[in-house]
Amino acid sequence: MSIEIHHINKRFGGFIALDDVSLSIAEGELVALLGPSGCGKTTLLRIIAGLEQADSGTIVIHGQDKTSQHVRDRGIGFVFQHYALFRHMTVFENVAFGLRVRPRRHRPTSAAIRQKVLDLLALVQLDWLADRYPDQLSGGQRQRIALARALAVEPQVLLLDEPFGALDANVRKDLRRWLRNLHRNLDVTSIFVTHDQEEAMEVASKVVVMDQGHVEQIGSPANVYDHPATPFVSRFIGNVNIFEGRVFVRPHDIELTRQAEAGLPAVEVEHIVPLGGLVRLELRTTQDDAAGLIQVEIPRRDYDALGVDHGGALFLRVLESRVFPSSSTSVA
Amino acid sequence: MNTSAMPDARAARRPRGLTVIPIAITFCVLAIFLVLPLLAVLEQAFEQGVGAYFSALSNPDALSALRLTLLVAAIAVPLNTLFGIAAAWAIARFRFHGRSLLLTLVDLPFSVSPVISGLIYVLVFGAHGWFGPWLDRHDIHILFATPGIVLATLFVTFPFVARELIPLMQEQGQEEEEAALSLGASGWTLFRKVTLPNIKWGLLYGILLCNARAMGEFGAVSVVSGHIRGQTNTLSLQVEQMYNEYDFTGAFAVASLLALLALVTLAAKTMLEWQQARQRRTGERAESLSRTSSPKDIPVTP
Repeated sequence: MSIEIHHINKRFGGFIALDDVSLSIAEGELVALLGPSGCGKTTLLRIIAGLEQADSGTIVIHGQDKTSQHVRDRGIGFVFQHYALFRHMTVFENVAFGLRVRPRRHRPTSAAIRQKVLDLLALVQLDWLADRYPDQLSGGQRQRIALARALAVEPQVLLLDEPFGALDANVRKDLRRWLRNLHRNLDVTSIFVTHDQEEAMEVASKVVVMDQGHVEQIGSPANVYDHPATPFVSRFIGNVNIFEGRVFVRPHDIELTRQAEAGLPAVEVEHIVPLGGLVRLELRTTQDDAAGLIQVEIPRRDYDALGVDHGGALFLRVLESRVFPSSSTSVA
Repeated sequence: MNTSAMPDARAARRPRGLTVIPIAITFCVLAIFLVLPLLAVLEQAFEQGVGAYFSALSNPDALSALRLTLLVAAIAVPLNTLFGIAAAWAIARFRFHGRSLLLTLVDLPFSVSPVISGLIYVLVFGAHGWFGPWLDRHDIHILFATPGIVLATLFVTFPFVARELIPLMQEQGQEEEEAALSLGASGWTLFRKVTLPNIKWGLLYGILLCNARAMGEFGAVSVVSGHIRGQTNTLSLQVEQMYNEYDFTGAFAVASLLALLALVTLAAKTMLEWQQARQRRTGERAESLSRTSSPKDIPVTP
């Protein structure tokens, strides 16, 4: 189902959480709302869900204006950061909840409910936990049950608030991949909120970068990374070196050489961080001590060929850079 | 090595007196101020034999006092349970103007002397009060009658349920309720199936305390009751009246009823706490079990 968000504004007292946010999401997409904490991404998600009311603006889901509709009638599935499983119900009852609370004429028979719940538990690969209580599960298991519960009501739209935020790093990696595959199979339009750019890049088909209540950029992960629209996006997505406050250079867009050439600054190595196939070097130019550290990432092969760890003069060549007008960077 | 182990060793060898003495003091104080008086009540009650005890209890005035006490509790406790849930819900779930004022008002009966709590009703409904003359003209009796006693008890016992629930509901947060809403639950279903089960132990505990106070309240009730024997005396008022009339056996027999009530309340309270602790323990145990036995936890890509 497509989602159209038009000119949403939201204030909390004097704080502007969302400032004229517009966004359109096509059917079947998996969209990440990405930004630092306090940028309004969770507020936007809650407004789409109907858990929060916008001060102005409209939410249209599949052509229907849902702005004033109650959360229970919006046909959305919401997955909370801290799972919000019903602690006094078994896993089975948690997943069945959305079906059991339907008005009698729309409620499936108990056999149908049972079948549906077991199917969903099988889908999230946790059917063996049906009789457990939420506090008997690990974080990753709880999150998958929360997802199964949200899917039980066959939502038109699936909304996930920092779905991996409370999990261990390695469980998180597995779940990301799992969610991406699940989305591919289910084909439900989904939006998830995250502050982790790596997560957004890995899972989403489309990334919405937000800052201070504004949408900074919308695009595919590759597009947002390679063509950042603003200095903020450039800094927030991936690492970047900033020269003279307006020239933005990615660490891997810099080459090191032993050959002195006109215009190439000489650098000294301050720190070496091996990152598997890459090596990250933190460098300092020899002419200007006041300048900050420059981050450079070069392939392991180049690093070995250069013999960086033997010392000696190194020179730096910028292969690709992006220049923003300096007025806009002074804000950041 | 030894020096680093020293502090631990010293802590373990802490003089036993340090733990024993405070415990002994606490027990002595409890014995002198709580157990001894309780024994004295029973001793006085049975001083003239079991027969005198039961005949004192079956005295029509004592029975009427018992009936009134039960009636007042039967009205005040359910009402304050409803008010308490409503107040706790409003305070824990919503941000609104006057929220902190409401929070203060909930606590008001705790901070006001019970005598004042009674007096306010005299000022409002008394013969010279605001509504006194009007009530008198319409032949409605509030003061020196059951309605006044119920009102005073309602006021005094108002905070118990709310006070118990507010911190509990704040701690639990509203994510579960939001989840229920997003799954299509109506307000009533949400309350019945999500909120109520989560607060049930705290609620029961609050009701218990509320009931104990409702049955035992003296000050506020004393001011509004008028002490009409057989009509507006609650158990605690009856005890005082009998005592003042030198009917010691009767006074202490009725007092023993109140003491019994206190003991039942204590037992119920202990059971509730024990029940809660047990639930928490089984939860933890099961959690540690599932942690050790979760080889299937690693998701396999579908």
